[in-house]
Amino acid sequence: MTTKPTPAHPELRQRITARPEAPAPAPTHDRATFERLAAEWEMATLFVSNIEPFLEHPAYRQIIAMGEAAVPWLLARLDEGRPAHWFVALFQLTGAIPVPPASRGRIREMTAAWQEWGRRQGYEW
Amino acid sequence: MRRLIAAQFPALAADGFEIVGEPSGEYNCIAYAAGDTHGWWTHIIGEGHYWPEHASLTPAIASLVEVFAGMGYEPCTDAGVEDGYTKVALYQNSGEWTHAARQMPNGHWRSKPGDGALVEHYTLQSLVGTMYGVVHCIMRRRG
Repeated sequence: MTTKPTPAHPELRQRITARPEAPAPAPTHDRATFERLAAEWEMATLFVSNIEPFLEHPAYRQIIAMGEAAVPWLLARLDEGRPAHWFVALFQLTGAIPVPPASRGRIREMTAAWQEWGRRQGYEW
Repeated sequence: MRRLIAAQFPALAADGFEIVGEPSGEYNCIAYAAGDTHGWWTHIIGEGHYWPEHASLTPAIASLVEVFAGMGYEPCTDAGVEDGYTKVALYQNSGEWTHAARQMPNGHWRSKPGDGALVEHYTLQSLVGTMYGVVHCIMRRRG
């Protein structure tokens, strides 16, 4: 497996962050709402590998609208067996790139890298 | 899982399929078709996913074609088994890549839909529908 030398990819990042065109939903910041939305989006993307079209899904957009409040909940969600799609949300919300090149695409290693990053940032979950 | 798959892919349910691997969130259809059962391949790599360096970072089906072309696959028109060749089928919906399936020596196809289970199906048409769209092309490689 080869890896990209530069992970920032400004054009890609601009596209995935700018894609929604409808007005953003009113933000909510409670854990129960997050869990409901997360479960809804996970069901919508259960059989999906290319999630770019699903970044416009209302549940996903509401999670992103929660802002930093959702970060520790997302970090916790990584432990629940289906973390692959949540890395995009973490990237969108934080701009962080904690996964080393050798670990790209390796879900367990990506999870460990993101959670270690979260602990270093002082997040608790 | 079988019920969920059947509900999402009505043609697959009608044609018949077998679950041949446990649900897994650690690899997806593109990785599986490329021979990697320990990776998640998608063009949105900024946050840590994998996409081959030779392919474009876009959701266009052309990007997925580049993935396999860069691995030595070439387009072909025959979905049947050919001695000496490994084949993959690429799906697209509205011009964006959605799925890849890999041919087995018995002529059946195996697909790993997202976080779901690995399934073996008898035709490529079984996965055509609202989620995966249509078969864009078949590609083959020696070996």
